[in-house]
Amino acid sequence: MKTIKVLVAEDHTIVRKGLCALLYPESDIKVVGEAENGRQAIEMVEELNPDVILLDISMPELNGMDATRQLKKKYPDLKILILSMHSSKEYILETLRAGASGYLIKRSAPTDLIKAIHLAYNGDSFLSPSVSKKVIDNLNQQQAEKNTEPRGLNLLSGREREVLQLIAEGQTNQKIADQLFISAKTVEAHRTHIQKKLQITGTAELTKYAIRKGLIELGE
Amino acid sequence: MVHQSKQFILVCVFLILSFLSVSADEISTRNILVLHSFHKGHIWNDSISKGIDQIVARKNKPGITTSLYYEYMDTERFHGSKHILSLYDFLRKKYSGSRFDVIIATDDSAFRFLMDYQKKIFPDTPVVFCGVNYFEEFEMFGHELFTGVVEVIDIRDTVETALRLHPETSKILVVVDRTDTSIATIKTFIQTFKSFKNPGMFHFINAQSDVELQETLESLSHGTIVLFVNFTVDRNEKKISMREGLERITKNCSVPIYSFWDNYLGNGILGGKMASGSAHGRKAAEISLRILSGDPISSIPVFKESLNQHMFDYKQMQRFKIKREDLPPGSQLINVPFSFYDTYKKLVWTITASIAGLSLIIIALVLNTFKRKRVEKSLKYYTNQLKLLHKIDQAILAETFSHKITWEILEYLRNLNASHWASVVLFDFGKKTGTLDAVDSNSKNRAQEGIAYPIDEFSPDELHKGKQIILNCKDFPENSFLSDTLSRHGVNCFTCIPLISNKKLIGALNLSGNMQPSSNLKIVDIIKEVAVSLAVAIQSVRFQRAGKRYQKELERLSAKVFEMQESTCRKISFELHDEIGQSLTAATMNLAAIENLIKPGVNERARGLVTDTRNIVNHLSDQTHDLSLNLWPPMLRDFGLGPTLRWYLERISEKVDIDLVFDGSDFPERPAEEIETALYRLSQEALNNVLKHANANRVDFSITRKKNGWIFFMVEDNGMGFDVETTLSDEKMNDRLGILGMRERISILGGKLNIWSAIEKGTRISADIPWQEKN
Repeated sequence: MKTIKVLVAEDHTIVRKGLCALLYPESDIKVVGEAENGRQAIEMVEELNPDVILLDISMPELNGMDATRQLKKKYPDLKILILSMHSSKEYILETLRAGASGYLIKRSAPTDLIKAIHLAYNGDSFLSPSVSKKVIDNLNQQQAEKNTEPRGLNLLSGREREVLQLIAEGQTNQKIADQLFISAKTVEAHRTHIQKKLQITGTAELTKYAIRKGLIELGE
Repeated sequence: MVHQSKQFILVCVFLILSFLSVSADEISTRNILVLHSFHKGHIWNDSISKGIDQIVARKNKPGITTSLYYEYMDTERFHGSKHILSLYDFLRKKYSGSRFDVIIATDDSAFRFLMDYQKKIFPDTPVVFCGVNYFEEFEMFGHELFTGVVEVIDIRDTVETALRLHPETSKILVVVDRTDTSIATIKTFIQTFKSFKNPGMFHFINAQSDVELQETLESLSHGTIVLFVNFTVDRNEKKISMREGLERITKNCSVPIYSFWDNYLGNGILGGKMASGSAHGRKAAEISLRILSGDPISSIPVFKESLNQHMFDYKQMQRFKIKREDLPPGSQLINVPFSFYDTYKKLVWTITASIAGLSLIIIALVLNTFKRKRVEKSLKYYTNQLKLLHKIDQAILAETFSHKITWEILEYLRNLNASHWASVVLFDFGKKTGTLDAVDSNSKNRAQEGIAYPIDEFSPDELHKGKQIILNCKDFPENSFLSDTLSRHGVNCFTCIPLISNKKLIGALNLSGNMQPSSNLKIVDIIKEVAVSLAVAIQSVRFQRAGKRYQKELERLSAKVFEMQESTCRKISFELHDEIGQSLTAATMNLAAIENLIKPGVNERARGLVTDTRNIVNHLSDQTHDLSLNLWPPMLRDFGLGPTLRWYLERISEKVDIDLVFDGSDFPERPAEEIETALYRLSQEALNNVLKHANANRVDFSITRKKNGWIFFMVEDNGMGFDVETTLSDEKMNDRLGILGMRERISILGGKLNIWSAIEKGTRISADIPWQEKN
């Protein structure tokens, strides 16, 4: 049975020692080095060629996320397990996107760490249970948000933005048409397009949207 | 029908005839023959002709021509029955075929001639006589066609006037001859005598030769007057012309001569109540015209009243020293030297009055102009003063009061007081100095500005009392204010006006020259008033500067406070997260390791305790983590405002039942960290308020970049809203809602916070912040 070479990168000494203590009883896992910050971790990877690196997400000099990106670029086979105090999806998704094999909440390390190292080593992924819930939620949410998330102005053409602004200023279709030298029919067509693109209906909603986007100035 | 047309024709014929007769009438001529007793050139006759001409010309009606024809009997030169007969013969033959409408006979000869021959020469022709001396009413019997004017001689009036004008008269010499005229006059005299007091004073001279008469008259002395009647025939029956006779009498006569006929006037006669030929002519012509117009002759009685008038020769009056005012009223004068004043008395007076009136008006206007100019001048003074004061006030209000305005004020006051140097000195009682703040002079030399002198040189103790003082540059030490001013501007004396603001002396206004309060009160007043304004302006500039300094200080302080607050939060957050959090994490790991070390079943109790402890520590770690995140989420640093807000809102929405929506769809870039922090805190504060007060069920957060590049951030809820004005004017509410803090945070970034709210509609808090690049 092959020994898994593990590099521990963690700036807090006591945590680092704690991790080492957790790994120590495992016969197939060997801590080959300990790094105190991201930069040092990269140097040590070069030197020690570990199989798995435990990377604290928030470290001085180079944080875990950026270190992951750099390491993954240089050593695509290196398995990276992120250790973090944060359970928010931004951190999770960002590190997974960067190429991490797993994301562990530090608090759950005693129970999950060994399993995670093994899974990562074998090319699988591991997420702490609370983390995996976030990821799944996010997927669902993304599906849902595609319909409800506010739409950006960038969806509109320049002319449509002009029309939207004039609508929000309280002008009638005919007045807008006169100002832009187009027909009232065209204005109506623009309005329909805008409503479809922004997923909102009615002049009141369009006005609210325009205010929110700073298209019209607000009085005190 | 036939009868009617006949009538019509008759009417027409009648009309035409009557029209023709009118036309014939219109072109009719009336002929008047004037038969003069004497010859053409005879003064009396010519004078009558003149009178007739006047009336005939005046009374000429259109369509009627009145022609005058003249015949002269020339009886002054030719007389005797032979002459009369030949005249009769001549005239009868001459006028046998023609007819006159009226004949005017002048003087006795013509009158007598016509009395005798009219019926033969001019049958049925009316005769109007005039200038007739000999007239008896009975003679008219059988002469029904005769009427006219009798010549009246006013002996009594003439003599009375003469006696009045010459009171010392003792003798009146009456010059007569043997002519009809003289005889008629003498006849009248005889009738008049009884009315005189002293008829003995009259002496008649007649039948003298012209030479004798001349001598007699030359010898007359003072106390005698001459009454000239006629002298055309002398003792030797020698005929003398009227003019010649007159000349002889008047030539060397030294006493006044009176007479009765105006044709004598102007030839040495003084005057008298005179008959005038032209008056007779006029009267005769009037009577003739009456006859021509159809008045029956019988209705026109012979006119026997006097036509005479008092007439005098001005030359003779001067000779005998007779005053105009002594003459009888209504007297006519001849030979009055042309006097513009007398001739145009009315005109002269009118013009004089006009000139006087105009002069008065001109004087009034000139006075008015002077007055106006004076008022204008003082108005200009006040206007300039007001302008200046207004300028100062405006500058104070707009906080733009500057040295430039001070110089302008000094220049104005200099010109006003005709000073060639002026300055403003400001006192520093702490340092005991007076600094020249502004200097204005003819040379515009401002080198002295900014120099500080010992305060005592300006006599502040005197100025304290609020009075102006005069400083003389007589005895002064070297390098003093006085010596400097003297050398630079040649000022040897100046007036100091205290600058007092809020009852505190702050400096002085100095104007070269000795400004005596009595010399020009107005100027002194203006200068003092300007000084008051100037003092207020200077003081206000000081306050403004201090105010701005305090405001800057305050801004800096509040920025500092926020920074410290933020860094403290962050520090504690780090501390909690990195030190306590990590230690707790390490502790759980150690506890886990311990747990592993205790073999299952060996010491279950110890193992249970370790597990419990690990759970406690885990809980503690969670709480610490939460606490740390609440203080400052590291996500803000790592992912920026959008993700952090999204995360934050998610965290909150787990606890409350409100839709929290964030729209950052148009905000891809990350601005400076300060902006992200400020907006994150703003969101926290705003959401806090919504949760506490609004009772809303949806809150929208949005961030976008406007066309001008500024960041536009907005938090809006659909809650109950509030009345912005009353709420925001309440300091306590402001404080409670954290609005002051929000405003301050945004204003530090150079932005502006807007709050809009409407009852039952919701609240909208928005911030406009200039973009700052992430550092």
